[in-house]
Amino acid sequence: MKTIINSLLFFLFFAPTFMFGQTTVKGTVTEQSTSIPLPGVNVVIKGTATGTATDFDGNYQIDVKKGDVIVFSYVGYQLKEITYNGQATLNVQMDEDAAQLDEIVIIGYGVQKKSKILGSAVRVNGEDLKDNPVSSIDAALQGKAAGVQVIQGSGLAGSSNVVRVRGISSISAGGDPLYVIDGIPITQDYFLQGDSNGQNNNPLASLNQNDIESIEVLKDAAAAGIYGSRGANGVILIKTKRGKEGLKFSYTGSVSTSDPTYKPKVLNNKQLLQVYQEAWENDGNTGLVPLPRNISWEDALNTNTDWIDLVTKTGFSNRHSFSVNYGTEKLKTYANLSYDDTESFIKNDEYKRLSGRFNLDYQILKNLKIGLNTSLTKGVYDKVNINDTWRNAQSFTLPFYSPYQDNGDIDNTFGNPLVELEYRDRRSEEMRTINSIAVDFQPIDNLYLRATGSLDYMDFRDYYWQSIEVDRIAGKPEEEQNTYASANPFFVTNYNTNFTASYLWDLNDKHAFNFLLGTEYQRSERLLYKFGDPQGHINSPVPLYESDAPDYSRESTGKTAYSFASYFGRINYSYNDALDLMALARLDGSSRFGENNRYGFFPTVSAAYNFSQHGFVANSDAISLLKIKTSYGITGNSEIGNDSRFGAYSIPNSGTNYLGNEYKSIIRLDNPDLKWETAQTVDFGIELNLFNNRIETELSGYYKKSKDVLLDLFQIPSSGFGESLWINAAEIENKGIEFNFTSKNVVNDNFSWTTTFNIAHNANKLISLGGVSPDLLEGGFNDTRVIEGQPIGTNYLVRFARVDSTDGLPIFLDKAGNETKTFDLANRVSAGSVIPDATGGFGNKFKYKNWGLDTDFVFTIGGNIYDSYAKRALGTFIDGNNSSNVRTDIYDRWRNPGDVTEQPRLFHDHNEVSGLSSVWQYNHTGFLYDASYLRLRNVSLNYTLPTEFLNGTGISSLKLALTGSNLFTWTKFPGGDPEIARDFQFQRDRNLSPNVSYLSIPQSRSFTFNINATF
Amino acid sequence: MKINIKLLLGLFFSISMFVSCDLEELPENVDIVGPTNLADLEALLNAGYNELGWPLGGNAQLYAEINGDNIDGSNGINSDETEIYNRSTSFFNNTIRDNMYRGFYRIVLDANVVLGHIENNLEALGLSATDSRVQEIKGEALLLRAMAHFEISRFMSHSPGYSADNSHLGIQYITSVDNAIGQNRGTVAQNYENLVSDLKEAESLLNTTNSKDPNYASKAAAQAYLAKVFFQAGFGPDIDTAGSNYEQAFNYANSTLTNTSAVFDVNLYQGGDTGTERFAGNLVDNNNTETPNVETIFGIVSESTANSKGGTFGRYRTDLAVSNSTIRIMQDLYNAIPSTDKRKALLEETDGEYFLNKFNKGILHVPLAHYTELLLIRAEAAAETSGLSQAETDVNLILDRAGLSTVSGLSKEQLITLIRNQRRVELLGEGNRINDLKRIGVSESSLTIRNAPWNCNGIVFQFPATEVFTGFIQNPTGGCN
Repeated sequence: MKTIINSLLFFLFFAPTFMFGQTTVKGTVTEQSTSIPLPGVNVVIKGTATGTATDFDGNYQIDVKKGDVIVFSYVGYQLKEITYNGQATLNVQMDEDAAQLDEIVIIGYGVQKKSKILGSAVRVNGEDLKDNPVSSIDAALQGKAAGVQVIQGSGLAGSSNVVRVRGISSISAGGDPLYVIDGIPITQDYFLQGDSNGQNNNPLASLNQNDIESIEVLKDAAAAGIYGSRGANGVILIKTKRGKEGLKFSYTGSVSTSDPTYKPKVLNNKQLLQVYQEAWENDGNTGLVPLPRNISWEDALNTNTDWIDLVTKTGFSNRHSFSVNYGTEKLKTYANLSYDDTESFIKNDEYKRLSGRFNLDYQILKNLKIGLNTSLTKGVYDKVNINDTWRNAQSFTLPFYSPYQDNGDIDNTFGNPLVELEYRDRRSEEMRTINSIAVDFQPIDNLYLRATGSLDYMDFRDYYWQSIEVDRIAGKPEEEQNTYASANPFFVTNYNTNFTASYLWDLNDKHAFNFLLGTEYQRSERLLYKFGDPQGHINSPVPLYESDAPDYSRESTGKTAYSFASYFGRINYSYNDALDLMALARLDGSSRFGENNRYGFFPTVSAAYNFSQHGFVANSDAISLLKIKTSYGITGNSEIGNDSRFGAYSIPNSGTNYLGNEYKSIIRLDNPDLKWETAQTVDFGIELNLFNNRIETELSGYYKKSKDVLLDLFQIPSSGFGESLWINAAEIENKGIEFNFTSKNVVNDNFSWTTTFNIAHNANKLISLGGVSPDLLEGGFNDTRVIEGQPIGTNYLVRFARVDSTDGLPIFLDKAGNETKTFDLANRVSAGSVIPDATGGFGNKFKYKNWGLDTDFVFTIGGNIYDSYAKRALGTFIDGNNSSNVRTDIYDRWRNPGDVTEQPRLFHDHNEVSGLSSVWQYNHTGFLYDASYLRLRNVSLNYTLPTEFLNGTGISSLKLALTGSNLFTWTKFPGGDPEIARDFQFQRDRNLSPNVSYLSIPQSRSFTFNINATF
Repeated sequence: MKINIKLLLGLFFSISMFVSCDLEELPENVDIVGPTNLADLEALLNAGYNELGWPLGGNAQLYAEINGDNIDGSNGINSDETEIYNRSTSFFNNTIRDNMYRGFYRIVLDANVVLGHIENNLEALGLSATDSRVQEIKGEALLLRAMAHFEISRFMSHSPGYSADNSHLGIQYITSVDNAIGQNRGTVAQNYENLVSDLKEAESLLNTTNSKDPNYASKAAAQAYLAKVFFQAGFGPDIDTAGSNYEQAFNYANSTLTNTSAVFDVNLYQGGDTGTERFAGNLVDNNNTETPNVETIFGIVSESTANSKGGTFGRYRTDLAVSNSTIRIMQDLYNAIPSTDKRKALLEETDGEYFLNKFNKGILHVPLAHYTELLLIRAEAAAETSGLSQAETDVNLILDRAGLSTVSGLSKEQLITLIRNQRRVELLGEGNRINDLKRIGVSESSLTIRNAPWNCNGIVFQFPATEVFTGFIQNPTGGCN
């Protein structure tokens, strides 16, 4: 350590004095567009034999004289010649050489010349993820790509993100894109543990961010079409890092803090008592208002509990990742070991993960290569029930309640968050391994065969434990006090094989073809268990993950599986490097589909034309690229239950007899016609690059019509069926326009500045529900609906008109638009705007010598948020022992005749609002808010130590970064974080309720210090 | 090159091995085959019996009481129940109403599944329509189907007689399994025609004692429900050509009491070691060591914690700490019961609030038709049809057991009033009162229930939002407050 500091000081003060005549120049060569270091670049002094090559990190050093011309060359890149004028450091950026883009790359299926990749795909490189640890790696896509809406998971440590590609085109079936990691469609079930208090499972939780080479989003039919029945909602391709030539060790470590972006603004004891009293008197009562739970006014005035403070903290996280790259010409390996410990700002919420990865490529013969990926992750998520903590703390636990009884025990006579925090233990443990093997074989020139086999295995266990203390403080007799311990395991095995053959055939200079044939098979099996004890829990002094009790515990209830087989083919034709045509077809079969619809056919055609060879581009100084492209394709969505098509009866099981006899009942009727939903998409895009590609723009538009959209029909109650029925009925339309812009404002050896901007508009409409009653799709949550002619998930509310300034009562509108003081749910209409007018992001990247500054903003323009808790926090908040605290914006309420305000008077009894049958029914448009916001997602300052500082330290590069996330947000939404990350009750809720907030957990505001070193 | 081609073919072949075209994945956690024998059919029927405990394990009884005038809802009930109490159930999101509604139709579905297999699938089950057990099962399923429809119709529609020809809307009477998109409501006239038809067929098919287990339905059970149905139709237009509604109610109550193995329980309310209780059970909720009360004509049996029914009756319990979810009884009812009445011991007063201790059990059996109820139906139906001496005899049994003096020589009106009051006290907590009031209102148009007209809109529940498809006619709201 001392050596490092000494050398740092030495260089800092004395380095400038070493400059004279023949000198050594050092620098880093990077790829121009991505800033990725380029290893193996030839660096020679023009006209001499003096030369070297860049090392693994793109660094070089060479002896040079002033006036020498240094030539940098690298396959696939334009040659760069620079005249040396005496600087100590010479960093070079190299541009890809369009003419040399004949590199063969592996794409979704098969291989392709790099220059010929068609379609709308957005790519984020691992390099860009480095400085900013995210809870789930898809968060890195946010704001980066037009048309890819990423609603970040909440601040909870194990939260999952909601990614929607080009709008919402599904209702009941999963609307998430297909996630493919290294070619494997992974197990992706957000509701693996059921709704689990709305805390959804994150299928990407086991992925270590440092392993990511790139993330690509396939948006349109041309790109996603090859995924057939699973491509309708877009595809996210994630590639992990692979070994390169050379030996390199690297370490990335970070520490970060986490605080909520929004602290609920609720009243303290005196403020709330005043408000309760006012409500009481408004209703015509006299005297002091009786308080909930029969609390005396004296106690209430002397008790002021800050419940939010009791359930939150500043979370501290640290992450360590160590990786080794070793590669020779034939053997290349990459290995990584990581440990993350992420704490959120909610107490007792912490995610720990230990993960290892080993990737290997071995060139057995010149034309035969084998690749191996293996990863093993153990994730432990200690969690809390957020209803009992975060939500109760700002609602049902009033400031004049004391957390403790007089004898010092925790008070268990109301929803006291301390009971959850102190006496309950919830944990899920996930062990996951994803492995694959790929063989690439080139039997003859231009024929590329690839076979892969993979296995994705997940062992997931959910634990719950409640201390004996709960019964004790609840006053149970000692002999009846008990603990509750349970464990619920899930085991999912998912294997996948595919085989592709690509043949590249250049007929002559002008005509080139690329043929692909392939087949894929996937099978996923989940073993089902229930907790072995018929009571659903046992008595255990410790949580069962700590218990070495014998196999307490599980009883098999069978298994559920699906299998999936596909055959596909694709032809690409290229004419004169200007016109590209592509046609593909995929035949998909799935065990999930009914016997009458076992196989589906999914074709796509696309065309692109590059005007580069035309005079107006070739001779133009301004235009450097002009390309138009279009595609049409049919893709599908098959995210439905494995067994939904089967008519079924329950299987009697031992514990459940009636009068000593078994019983079995019908679950659902046979559904032989069930099939995938289809999306027909037409895309059009134009790419225009200006001023020697300094400015890159892309404008694209799409029209997507989804048919046979899957609905899980809440069967009419009089049918008697408890389970919903899947049918293909609805039609949905999505259309949109997207714009991406990148400008390299300044490109200099010492200073560079790049600006990126993207914006997207999506309009979404339900064309038809196929004759199904919208209320059959009502899930009972969130007051959102599917209504023909309206966007999916439109808010369905009574219209609030104004406050009567004479008596402070709310005035609503009836169906005909006439004012009424009667609240009647029959007057609900589709209201508000679920879909924002535009979403997007913009960012700036500055680089000055060794310093870098990145800023990323995300924004939403227009649309509404429905604050579903406002009916209590601002509305009818007094409900006996379920009375709620209120927000400080209740101070805008009507108080005296003549007050002109948007907020009605306070009510003690909800019956004061004529027609209101319960406090929970008070949903109206007064609680719809503007959803627009602008958020500084990230600001990151980084510094790369100059290489000379590191001489003799054994460290070849060292980069430090300080990142702030969600530091500033501009919004008009008073009810919380405008970036709502509700976790959802079920798939339909995930699609239908994106703009409904209910005491939602805000995002976290965090600071991260990151260090990245290579050896 | 040749080797490479061979290698290629070999590779292709080995890959193809993985690709199976058989995409049949049969689920193992459910039975996709369906019933194959008599035992399976019995298991399907048993599901219907088992599901009785869902709505009738106290939920339906409680909501009916909350709707009526026995319960003081100013405390002790939750927000959904308050909607019922205020007679303003919303069609949207009243979870408890939705749940009860669904529960009744679950029983209907279970019954229809059994009837469907008997209708179409007997051969595959290796059975014949003439098998006596098949006949009995059919009778049981018909009874379950009618019971569930009868109970739900009393929540969702006004009593017969609300309109002069019963043309007012009732419920959907579901007779098939395939009903995913719903059907329109029938009129009350149609509903009662269906009820009578199903119950009469059940009566003809059922045995005096059920051949599988005496706790399953018997002929007397079907007769008891026929009596209840005719009694509910009471002052409305006659629903059957065989006689007036009260004549029919009398006849079926009389047949029930004659045919049933249930007997009048003289030990009821007597306390001490020999005293019995209608909701027989144990305090500790493990196995129920008590047998159902001897008066039980048909009911739900709770054998053990693993399948305990009747949990919702626990809402009344006074042996547990009284909380803000403990049901309170109306003061005027408490005051109306003389202190000499042994049944007054079922009520308790604490700090000016009144509670019912009738259900102080950890586990209990739930009678759905019992001797006392049928005796009171026979009494009132007799009085209505001028069989005054029979009415007097029957009600005197009740009075005597309660420790009250018996009566004689009362006028028809006096007798009817007395019997109605006895019904209110005897059947307290069993969900009876509101249905009596809705029936009586037909002949006493000025009758009010907690200050609301007996026939106001809100007294019948709103159908769940999920039931309401385009063209479905929802119940009108309001009018009760």
